[in-house]
Amino acid sequence: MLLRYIARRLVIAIVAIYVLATITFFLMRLVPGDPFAGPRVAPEIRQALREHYGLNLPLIQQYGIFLWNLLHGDLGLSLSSRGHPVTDIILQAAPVSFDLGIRAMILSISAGLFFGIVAALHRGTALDYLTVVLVLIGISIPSFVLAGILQYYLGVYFKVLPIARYENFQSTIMPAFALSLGTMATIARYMRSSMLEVVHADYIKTAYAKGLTARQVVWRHQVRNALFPILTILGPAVANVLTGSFVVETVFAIPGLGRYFVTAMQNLDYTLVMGMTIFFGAFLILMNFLVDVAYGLIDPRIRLA
Amino acid sequence: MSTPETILAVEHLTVVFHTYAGVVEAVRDVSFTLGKGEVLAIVGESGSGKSVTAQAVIGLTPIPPGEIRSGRIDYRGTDMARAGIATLAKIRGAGISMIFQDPMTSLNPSMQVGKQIREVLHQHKSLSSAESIAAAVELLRLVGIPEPESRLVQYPHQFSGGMRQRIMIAIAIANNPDILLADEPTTALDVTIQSQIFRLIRDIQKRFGTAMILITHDLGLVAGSADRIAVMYGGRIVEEGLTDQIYYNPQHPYTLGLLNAVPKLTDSGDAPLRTIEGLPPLLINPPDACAFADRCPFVMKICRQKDPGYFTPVPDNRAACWLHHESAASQRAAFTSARVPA
Amino acid sequence: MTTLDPSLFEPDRERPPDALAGRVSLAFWSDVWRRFRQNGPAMVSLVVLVLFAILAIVAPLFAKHPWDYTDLMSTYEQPNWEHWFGTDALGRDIWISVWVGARVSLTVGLTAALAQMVIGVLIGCFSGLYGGRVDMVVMRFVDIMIAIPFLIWVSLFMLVLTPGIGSIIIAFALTQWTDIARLTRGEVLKLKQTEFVIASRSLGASGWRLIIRHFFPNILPIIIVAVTFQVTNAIFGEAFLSYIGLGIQPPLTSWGKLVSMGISEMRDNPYMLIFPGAAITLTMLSLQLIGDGLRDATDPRLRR
Repeated sequence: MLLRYIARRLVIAIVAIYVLATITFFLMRLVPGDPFAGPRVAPEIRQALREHYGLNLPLIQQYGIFLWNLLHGDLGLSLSSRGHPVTDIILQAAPVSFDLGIRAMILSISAGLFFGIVAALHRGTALDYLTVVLVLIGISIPSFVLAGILQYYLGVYFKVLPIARYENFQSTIMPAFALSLGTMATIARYMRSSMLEVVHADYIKTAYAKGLTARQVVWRHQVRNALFPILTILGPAVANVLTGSFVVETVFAIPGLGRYFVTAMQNLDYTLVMGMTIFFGAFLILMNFLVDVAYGLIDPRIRLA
Repeated sequence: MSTPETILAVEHLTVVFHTYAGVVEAVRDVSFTLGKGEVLAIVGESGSGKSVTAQAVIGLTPIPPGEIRSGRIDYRGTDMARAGIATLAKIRGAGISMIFQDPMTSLNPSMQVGKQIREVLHQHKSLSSAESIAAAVELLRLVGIPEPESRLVQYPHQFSGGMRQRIMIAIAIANNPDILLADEPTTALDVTIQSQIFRLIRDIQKRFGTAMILITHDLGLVAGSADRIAVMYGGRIVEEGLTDQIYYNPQHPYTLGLLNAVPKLTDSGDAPLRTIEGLPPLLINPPDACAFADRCPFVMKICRQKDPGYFTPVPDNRAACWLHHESAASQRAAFTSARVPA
Repeated sequence: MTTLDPSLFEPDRERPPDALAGRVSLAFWSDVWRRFRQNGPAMVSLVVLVLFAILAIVAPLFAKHPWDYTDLMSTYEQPNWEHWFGTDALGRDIWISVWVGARVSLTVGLTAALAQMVIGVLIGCFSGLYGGRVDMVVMRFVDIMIAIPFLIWVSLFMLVLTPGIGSIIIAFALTQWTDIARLTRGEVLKLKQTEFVIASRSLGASGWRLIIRHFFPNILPIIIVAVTFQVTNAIFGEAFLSYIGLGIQPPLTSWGKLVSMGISEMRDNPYMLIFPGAAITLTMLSLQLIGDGLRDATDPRLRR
């Protein structure tokens, strides 16, 4: 029953978000000392914060306030930005990150699938080895190293692309590429091995035995079935792009969620960190839920169970 | 009895595989013919080369690591061993079809069953969608799938193993092929289903007059179905003859061993199963000797030194065994008396 | 047909050569090593890693000064014969810095991965053996832990704990055991379905010993491969934390810190990023290849 499958997944997702929020709440309470009394917190807002969070109340009540606020979309007040509501900060920075993230995902998926399929079809040739090498480099080179190198060589040395900010199309190229390479490499690698595994399947033999040409077999049977396992790595892929954005946005000075998160950590802005963590977590949980739903819709074995 | 017109002639086929361990000679100098409407059973244990032979006939030998080193596979004038990809694609699914062993994995799990049947129809004939749908329905009905119209749009996982094999049969006979290759079609099925499916294959073969090559490791299975039986061992055909002769008058120790291995109703309840001692040979650089020598209870010195070639001890038969040489009288007598009466 | 010597047709009484001679069965680990050896890239990676480990231990011992010896007379030097990797803003030799950093990064990576292994195996066994409700609850918990990306987890932990090597290792160990736990649980479940469990009931204590003897060889290769990949994650994670300032603190240095300094100096002194960056990349690449090589070498399906 497809509906039951979706409903189950939805319940799990909601519970997960709840547990995440709770863990984050208690984790922040574990910070030694008084986080709201830190040097970065302007004195005039300390009182506002105290009231907002009900810091004078017992812990359970604070928890209750926290959850209540959460349900109303209130993620708290930022410590270092003079009490700016966290939610506002997120809403301001999100469009930039989403734009960058989507570009990176499109690039990763299209290039990744392309290289994976091509490498599998030309197994053992130079093209295959080249892909394998690129994949290995792609998953080994840390995103900040890559970002730094790109920035230097393309931005400073060759002066081909702008090195910072996010204003026009050219300025999206390097960050999107830096952000996409790791995921692109992973997708290429999985697609290649999925294709190679599928090629040994019995139904491929059957397809050839029907008199289909290689091209027909590849496109109608091999690629279609090789794509299935790729869906399962889409969830983690989105997570990778999200965390990759921390570094890439910082290096390229892009005013997105990632950069705010990093500076929040550096400034010990606990409330902002907490709020953003819940946001990221909820977003990823939601993404995973959507991937699960998509999988249920596409795999006939689940759709018609 | 008039000999049926020959539709397939395999001549001196040798297929090798390049592996890490060396070059494995899976099929060594195999020759046989198949007449129109005739049923030939190729019997042998794992590794005897029977599946590789069938794959070569339909042109599905995986070319690296496989290689058709020599020989000719003649089907209506085309040499299947050397034909180009386009020619082979036209013949597969139309002139020569094949059903495989494991029905659970032989169908594309993400494609509707009806589409998979219609695929083979559209590949070789020009039909409209309506025509192919109707044809697919008829085919499903023919292979015994109830309510075929509604089942066309279902997926393989919604069918049992036996039914999936029926669908495979439907695909294979869709274009009324001259030759149907069945590679252990019932091995992976439940025992109770095996005979049903087997009967279905037999009925279809009789009805359409399709020539068939039936590959199996089970000599007991083909008694009532095959016209001729070829026994393979170590990549070679060690005996070939009419069905009755193979069962009642085997001329090769290996054939005898296979027959003896089938438990009989007259055996006492706790009698040990009769087996053939030893393991099949590794076919890397096989020596010029009889491949069965190490396991043969009637082995002679010459068996290890020279390959026997074929003898014809009885009509319509050939056997690759030194026992039939004029000088082997005493051992041959031992062989004859060792045969358990059927 | 040529006439043949009749004596050739006498029965051959010699015992046939051992048919099994061509199929030598090897002890499991020597077979794994043999297969691993055949894997060119994996072997090269192994050499590279061993080389890095040796350099990490030995190179700082041969230095004229400790790594943080500041020499304000020779700041920002390009690589030259005196300073193979050049010097940084404070005149510190980068060659030594890289190998001191290697000590930290490799240690963190290895220790964190091993700690994850212990925790993961314990939880996986626990969940798999008890099954039922317990298993379900544990697996849901794992699902939730996985929902948060690893970098966010460790960052959160670093905010709560005081930054330092110990806390980094703790942060990793407490949050990244999930993969290994899942793998272990999978193997335990598979084992539960085999006849060994039935045998244990009738054999009692010796049955348990039998299970353990069969269980660990089965699971060890899988775990080792997983741990290898966890080391890459740990090294990357430490570098990331140090890059954003939540990781290693002075007087220690790590590859992450070196890279973060290097990025800000990219414009004029690219070598400051290139050397530590290459060190990290090569290490992660080598670990990746070794992990792949181990996985291929222990995969029973790929036996020749």
